[in-house]
Amino acid sequence: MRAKTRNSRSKAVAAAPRSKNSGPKSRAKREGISVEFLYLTDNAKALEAYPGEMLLIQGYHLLAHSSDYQEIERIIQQKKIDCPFIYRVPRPEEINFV
Amino acid sequence: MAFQVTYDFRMPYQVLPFLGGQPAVDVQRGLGSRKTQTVGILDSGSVLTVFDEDVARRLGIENLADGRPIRGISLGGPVELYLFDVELSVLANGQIMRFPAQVGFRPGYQSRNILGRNLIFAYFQVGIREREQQVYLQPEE
Repeated sequence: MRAKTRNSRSKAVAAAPRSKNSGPKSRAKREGISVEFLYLTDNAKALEAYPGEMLLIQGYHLLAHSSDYQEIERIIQQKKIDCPFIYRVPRPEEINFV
Repeated sequence: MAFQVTYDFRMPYQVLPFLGGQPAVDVQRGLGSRKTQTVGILDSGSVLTVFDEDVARRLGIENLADGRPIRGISLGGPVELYLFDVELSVLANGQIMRFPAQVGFRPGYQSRNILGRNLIFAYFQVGIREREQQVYLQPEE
């Protein structure tokens, strides 16, 4: 019984590299989107905390949020980001567009 | 008379803050050496592709009035737009598709960046299956 448990454990260890494939980069690749876009969609609900603000996302991280574009641009320059992913969260009153 | 359309690409709607599932794609725009990336929503009801003013600033466009001014009409009323030629890439289904694009920049902010019929719809047959929350694309020959 114990041996079986040990076997199960070692199986779990052997399976560890597979969990690497469930990281954001692998998931983004699988879904055919950028890691930044994946972060945005994965965290859509939480990011509603920033209505009307611009989000600067780099990799699977929110680097900055601000309603002032200059502030976002300052961080882009500071971090030397070549192709920044910027998304403006709409305000609740802007969402039912026609 | 029945028609049959085959699509090479299929992608799910993406969930965006406050907007929920949308036919949204990852868009990269470039002007000279400046590039920026954001999200655009496919909109077959829009003749033009329209982005926010801050996207223009990120591309190094200091003055929107340097573009070709046109007046657009939305249900919210008339909007002033300034057209610029930019290089646009769309990442969908793991494929990067590049287009030369004429984009209208709008002073101020709008609730979403619009990919209108002059862009993706001009290069792809587009199918939208709202109930399944899926977008289908087939490159035009």
